[in-house]
Amino acid sequence: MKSHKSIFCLIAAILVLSMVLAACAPAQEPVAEEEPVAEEAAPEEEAAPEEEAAELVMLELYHDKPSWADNTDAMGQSSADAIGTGFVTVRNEDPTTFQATIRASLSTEQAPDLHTWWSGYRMEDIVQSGSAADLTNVWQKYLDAGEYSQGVADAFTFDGKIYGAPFNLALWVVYYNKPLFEEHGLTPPATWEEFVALNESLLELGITPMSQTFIDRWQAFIVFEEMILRTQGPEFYNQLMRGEVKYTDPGVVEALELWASWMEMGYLTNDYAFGTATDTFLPAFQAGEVAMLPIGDWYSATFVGAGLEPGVDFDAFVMPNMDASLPPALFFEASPLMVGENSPNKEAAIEVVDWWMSVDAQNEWSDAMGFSPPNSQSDNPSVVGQNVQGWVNDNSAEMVLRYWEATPADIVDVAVDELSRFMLNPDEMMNVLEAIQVKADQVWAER
Amino acid sequence: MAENMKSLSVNHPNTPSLFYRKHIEHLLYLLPAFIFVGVFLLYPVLYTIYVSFTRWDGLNPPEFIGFANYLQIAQEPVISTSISNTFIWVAASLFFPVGLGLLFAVFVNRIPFQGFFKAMFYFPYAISATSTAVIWTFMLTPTGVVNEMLEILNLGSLAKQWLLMPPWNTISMLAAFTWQTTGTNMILFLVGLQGLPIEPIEAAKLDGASGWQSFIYVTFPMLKPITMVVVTMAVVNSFKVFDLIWIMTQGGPFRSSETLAVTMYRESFVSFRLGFGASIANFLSIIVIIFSIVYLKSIFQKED
Repeated sequence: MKSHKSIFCLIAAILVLSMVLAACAPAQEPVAEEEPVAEEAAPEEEAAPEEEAAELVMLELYHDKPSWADNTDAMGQSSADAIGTGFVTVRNEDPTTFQATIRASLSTEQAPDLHTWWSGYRMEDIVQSGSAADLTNVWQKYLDAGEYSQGVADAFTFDGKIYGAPFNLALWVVYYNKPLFEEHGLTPPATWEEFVALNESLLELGITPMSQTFIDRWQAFIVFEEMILRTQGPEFYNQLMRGEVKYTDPGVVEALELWASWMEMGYLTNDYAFGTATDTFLPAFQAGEVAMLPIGDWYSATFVGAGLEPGVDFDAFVMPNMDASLPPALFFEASPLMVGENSPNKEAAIEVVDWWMSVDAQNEWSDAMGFSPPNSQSDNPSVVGQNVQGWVNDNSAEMVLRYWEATPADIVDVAVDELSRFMLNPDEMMNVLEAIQVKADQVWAER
Repeated sequence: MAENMKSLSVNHPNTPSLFYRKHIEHLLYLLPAFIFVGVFLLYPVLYTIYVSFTRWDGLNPPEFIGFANYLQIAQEPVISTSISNTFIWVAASLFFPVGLGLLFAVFVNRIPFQGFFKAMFYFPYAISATSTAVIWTFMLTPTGVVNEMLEILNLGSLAKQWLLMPPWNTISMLAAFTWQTTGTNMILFLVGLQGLPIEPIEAAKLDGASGWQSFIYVTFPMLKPITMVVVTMAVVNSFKVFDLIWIMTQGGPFRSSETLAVTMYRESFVSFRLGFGASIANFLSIIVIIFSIVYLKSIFQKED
């Protein structure tokens, strides 16, 4: 009896040990699926050696946009059909968890095959740690063919090497309720004076002109960056992003004073829970209670998801400059698709990136998401995107990287909190700007 | 060595082989628990202590910086907000969930249909903190049921953006926390009340003590063991409250509703200052340990 107990204990201990060791085991190899054999396949083909049988290799793509996952899965299947290597989406419901997962795994043997990220300063530390695969060779082919502009490549370039393909390239616009504008004889503004007059007209109609929020923190920079760009221009904005201009500079103060006056006049929502949320903003937008929303043109997918038709129920314009002498400009956001340098399937993942950048893939992705494709030879399926792109081309507008990626993340993190404080208490303006500058001084000194 | 073994075998009634076999058997019983505690508790604790002395972004190797992270705790303005919020949570969790729990227990102990009231008050505790946070977030949106009720009651001027304006965001979250945790405290106090001997209470009544005097001078002192458990649990839980705050406000706006646990998470997994986050974790643990020792020691000293 006693010996049975000992044996039982020993087995239990071995089981526990094996569980612990299993948890520490290296990453699994990619899932290899045998290609379905056609029924009419010849007998000699069935007898072919196993290593010669065609295999579908399915990699993993990590991103933080669960509502896009069905479309990325479809892209993964198309990739498998086209080049024999596809991918499945690893869904992450929360951007914070997603970032923690990616950062924790990038330096390990379990590094993700493919993952999305943010460009600019937010991408820099991943590149510097050597965790991002160099995609320059893939890019060179497309740049030589003129399918992509150098500007897009620059968003992912560090020390002359390119580390990301465009997963999503968004232009930042002001969406408006088109039927509401038509009903009241309103038109999208081309000048600052027209924009102010439009806001006044909407207020007289009892409609809040524009939505703003800080409910998820990050949105606090939206009106801030627009006010800086529209009052001071792209050169000043870029200097601020590079730490060459202080947040307490009179130019920044002027922009925030204008923002405060707009809040006081009621041009912007003071109900901060609205913002961009589908359960709060969209019903108000559809009911004509809030007329406009400044945001990236990826928001088209949200409108479409709510049953709104692009060009009919909503459209977009680029916010005009306050000073007409400033160059035409708009913000853009470039999200990279990256390959883990330490991924066990790095080469296969680079092949997928090559396919992703192709005309066919970009046609499919843009069609599914309603995005403007970064590949110049792809079709732009979005009426809204076509209009904005037309404005960019007609005005030779300067593309300016949005605030989130344009300056070091440590400064942005403090700034979005402080700007939220400003939105609640505009009287705190100088305290807010000084607090951001304290952080900026610290960050730039460390760099 | 051989002599030691010999002396052991002489002192022990069994043979050496049986003796060691028996001890090995005992150790094997302990091994699974030891492995789990070692891998999932001791190792992370030691690793957190190590990380707290480094600058680490999770991508590059950790860089040893001594006590710099602990010095930064004293310098960062957000930490002072987090500490004051943490102590507000501790004080409020003693006053509301524990105080109300005791009050409800006393009343429920005296009325019929105890089972119904016990189930009603305990029900929120059966819901996860995450679900509680989501439910209360919906209730507290500008168009939520709280503001709607205020409108119906002609108190529309009191309607607010509850979760977006300090200090109402912290007050709202404390209301949600109280709603969820009062029931379990009530049940614990009720168990304590029902286990008390009736004689001292009846003797107090015979001596002319009022109901209030009888409760304060007889019943409540006799509840001390259960009060100790409830207070310790409430304080430790309020020190580490995270999920409710993270879902309802993420510590915002402008970090105004962060507690130390939320600041630890934000610094570690949003800003990726893992060394600083680890130092906050250790700082919080030290506060909880000190509180527990002081509180329990004072209780036992009084008993002595």
